[in-house]
Amino acid sequence: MSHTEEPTAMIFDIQQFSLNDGPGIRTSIFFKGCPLRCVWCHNPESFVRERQLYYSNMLCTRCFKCTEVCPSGALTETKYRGQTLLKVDHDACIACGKCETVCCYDAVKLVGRPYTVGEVLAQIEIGRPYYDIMGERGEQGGITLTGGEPMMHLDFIEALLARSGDIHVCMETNGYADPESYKRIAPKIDLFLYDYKVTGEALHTELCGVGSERIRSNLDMLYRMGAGIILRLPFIPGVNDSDTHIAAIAELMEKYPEIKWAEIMAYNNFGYSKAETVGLEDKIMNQPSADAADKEKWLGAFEKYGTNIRIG
Amino acid sequence: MNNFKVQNPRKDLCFEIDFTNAYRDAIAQYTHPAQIELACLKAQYPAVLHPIEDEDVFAGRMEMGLIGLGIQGQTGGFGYYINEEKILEALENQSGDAKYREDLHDILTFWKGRNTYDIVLRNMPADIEEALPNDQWKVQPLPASPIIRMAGAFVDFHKLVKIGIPGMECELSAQLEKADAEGQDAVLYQSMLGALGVLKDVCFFYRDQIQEMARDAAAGKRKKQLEDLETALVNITERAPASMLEGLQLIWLYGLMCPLLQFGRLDEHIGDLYVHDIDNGIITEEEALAMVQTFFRLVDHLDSETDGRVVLGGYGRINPENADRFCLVALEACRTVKEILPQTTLRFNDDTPKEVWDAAMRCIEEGRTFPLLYNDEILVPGVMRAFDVERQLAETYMPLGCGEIEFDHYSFGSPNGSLNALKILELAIRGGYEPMIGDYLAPKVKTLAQCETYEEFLDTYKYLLDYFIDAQARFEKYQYDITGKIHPFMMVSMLYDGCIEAGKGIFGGGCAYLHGVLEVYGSVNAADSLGAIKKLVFEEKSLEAGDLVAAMDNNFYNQEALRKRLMDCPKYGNDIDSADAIYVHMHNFTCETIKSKAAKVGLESYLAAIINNAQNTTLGRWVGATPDGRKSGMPMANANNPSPGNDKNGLLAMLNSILKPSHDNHAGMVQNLRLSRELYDDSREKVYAVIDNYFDRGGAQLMISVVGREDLYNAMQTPEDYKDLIVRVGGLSARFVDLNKDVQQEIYDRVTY
Repeated sequence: MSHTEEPTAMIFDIQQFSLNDGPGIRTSIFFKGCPLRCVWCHNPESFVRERQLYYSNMLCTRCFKCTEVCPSGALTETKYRGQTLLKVDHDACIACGKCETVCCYDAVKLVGRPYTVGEVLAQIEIGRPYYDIMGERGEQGGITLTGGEPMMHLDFIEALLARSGDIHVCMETNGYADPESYKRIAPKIDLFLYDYKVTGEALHTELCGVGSERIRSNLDMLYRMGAGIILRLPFIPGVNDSDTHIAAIAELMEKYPEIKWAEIMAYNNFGYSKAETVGLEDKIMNQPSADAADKEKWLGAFEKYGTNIRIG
Repeated sequence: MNNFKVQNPRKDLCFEIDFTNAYRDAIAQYTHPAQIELACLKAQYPAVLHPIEDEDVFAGRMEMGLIGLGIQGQTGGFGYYINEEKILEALENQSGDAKYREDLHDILTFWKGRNTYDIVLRNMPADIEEALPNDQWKVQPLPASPIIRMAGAFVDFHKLVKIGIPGMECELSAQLEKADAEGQDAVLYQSMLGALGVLKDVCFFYRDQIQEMARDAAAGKRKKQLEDLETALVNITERAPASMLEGLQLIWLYGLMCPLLQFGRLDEHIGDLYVHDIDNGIITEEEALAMVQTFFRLVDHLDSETDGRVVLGGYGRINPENADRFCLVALEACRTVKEILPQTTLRFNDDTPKEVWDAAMRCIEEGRTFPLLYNDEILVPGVMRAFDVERQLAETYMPLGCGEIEFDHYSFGSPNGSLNALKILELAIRGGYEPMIGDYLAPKVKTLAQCETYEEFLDTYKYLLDYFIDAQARFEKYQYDITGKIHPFMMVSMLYDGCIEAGKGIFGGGCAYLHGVLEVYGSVNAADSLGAIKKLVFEEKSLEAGDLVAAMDNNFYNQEALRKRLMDCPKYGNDIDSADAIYVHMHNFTCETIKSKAAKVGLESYLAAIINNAQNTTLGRWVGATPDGRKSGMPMANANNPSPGNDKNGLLAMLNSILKPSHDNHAGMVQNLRLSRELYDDSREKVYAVIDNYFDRGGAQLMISVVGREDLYNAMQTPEDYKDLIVRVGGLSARFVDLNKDVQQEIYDRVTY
């Protein structure tokens, strides 16, 4: 990237009024691309870095205008039992964006586009009147870098933070990036929302696509650097919520007493329907969302350890 | 036409026939409008009144006739009115003897041309008629339409409660004596005294009914209630009300005779009596609540859909401490009487007690949509500047109906016109030509294609706006003048400042501050359309005006790419300066233009109202495809809110945008916020912080709907109507309609009510 060009990053959403991605009221910036492939991910459109086709069966009005302009055969008309339907082939999509220019119902579009620092700053400014208003109640709002995995966009993030002024910065991370990168960015991050997903190497690889050793060592490093950390724990009933996992979490929290608290992210199957829109339904699990009984059970299991834990 | 909520609606038109004959006799006998009106009041009351129902703690249910005397139009009709459509229905369906059928034909033909609505329209000066040919906005593509009514009577119930019927009779008798002595017109005073006599008859009418009911009732709570009420009804004919029950009963019966649709500062009217009764152990809190609940139910039974304003709180109340105590009862009634009316309205300021604010938030949280919130700290100074009045008067501002502002029992500012800013833009684009009728609906001007610059086109649009606004202002004054000649509206005039002293009816020179309001619709879509034209046609030059108009002519048929380009242009509501600036500019132009007409036509003021009702849909029906990408006939944006679905930057951006238009050059602007119950439950503090922040930053008003199960269900069926609904999912706030069906289903399943 030439230093005369403005840096850009592939971002697939910027959400105002984010209420559960860090304290207070926040603006969440969702970066595209992630090295992990967690089977429960509820943002599967964030897996790949590149732009990709999104199609909503619900919003589609079957006008078929997109099929008239699609050059690659990703969107075609097909007949089935006397009905004309829209056939979507995500693999055939070349991300040319022609479909977006004719869909007036937001049913078909490309997920993600390159944003300049200036564009992201403009979005951050929209939320600026709101970041401090929970400050009096002990919850400082600001921005949350998330996604996907924001650590894949470090140059951009540094450029962004250099111009975002006095603002509280959270980063949601899976902890998998190389340690040097974390060292580099940590001084600029007020609070890490750090994922700890699965206990046991084999299971971690099976469920997330990568091993967990580096994740644990990065956590240790950041902790010793004095970084602000909240531990984020996706809990999926019957999948990763074993006694072993619970014990391991309790042990981590004991080992790192300065971690503010640990948050259980109870599984919901929101991600599955999103997966369908980007053609990833084979990669994402689908089971009933965790219910109140599950949450009670989990909290109960931590009681004997006295862990500082809550439902996120 | 309302469907008054009474147990046994009348099954024939005998009342209408009797009323017509009473009117007939009156015009044969009298020439003075006040005497005619009195005769009609006698014919109408208590004839249209219905018995007290089991849940009512005091009396006053009404069923206005298909013919009768009214003031606002939404209750019965305007002036001497007739509902021809329903009478025709009756003619076609009803049996009855030969005389009855003759009489039905008689009343139909008698009132043709004689009812007030026809009189107003038929006598319209030609210059006004040229711009405003009719009021058929429901079925015609009108750029502007007169509204035939007098809406927004806020009478001085505080005075009525303080001096009672006898006090008013004294005042009138004194004036009558003076008029006789000085050779002035005494007839009005005599007739007003007569009207009060009818009010007393109404009290006795109910007293007789309730006496019988009390006699027949089994011993117990209800019997005692009826006996107390019987006494109260007699008391209020003999002296000023001395209890909360008497106060409410008198207010209600008086109001029925106007007939009123705005009930004003109930906390001010009743606060003193409430505090007196409670502090002296005369009634319990429970009994007080039951009375206010009855009041609310009775307002609702009028079934007027709009209006029904009960205003609580705010600066300028005579008795703020007692009034604030009453506020809590009223808000509890608001929370528990789950009907569409009254539109409970809370004026709040820095002095509003925390309990009152918390009670209001509780109502909203439980999905009531009321109270509507009005920020005195912004609105009082704003009203001072808009109306050019001193602070003391500004503090008596009252939102009526859908949000237009008047001064309590001092000013009358009936919103008697509606302006369709989007239709006028459509006409400007085509040089004044309307394809739906194949003719010109506006003065011929340059078409968009003929304009060389954006500024030139903008000037054309402004020229047409001014043309219709000017006609509307003239119509407003004309309607006041002609109405004033026919209708003294004595019940209203008696409790409006200045009328009794002047010896004139409210619209006949008696009103201390007569002003007008023009309802403006479609301005958000118009601004968005201007933005698209400016950008694509004039700045980028990537779209020929001719191609745009051709696409509009054909409702974007086979022009999806063009439509999408228009839709993708920046829109108001996303905190984008370029789009918001156009909206603010047009808001100021429209408001200032309307304001400037007052002096010209002889009104104290004439101001815009940008309000919330169904007109954005009804008027949008006859607007074709527009350059903001909106398709033909589709609803326009509502009030000061962005076009649903066009606020793509979320809730906070929307709030930032709606804070931009000013509040010192119009008579009322409404903003809606629709949130899911779940969002509230999970993030209550943050939602409140955002609402507080909105008001701190200059927010004048907010209507918050917290939606539950039913709305979620509806949103799943017709997502295009719920594009603005925000819910909480997975830790984020998201637009409900953007979520996949099964996620929507899950959220729906999680909501229990």
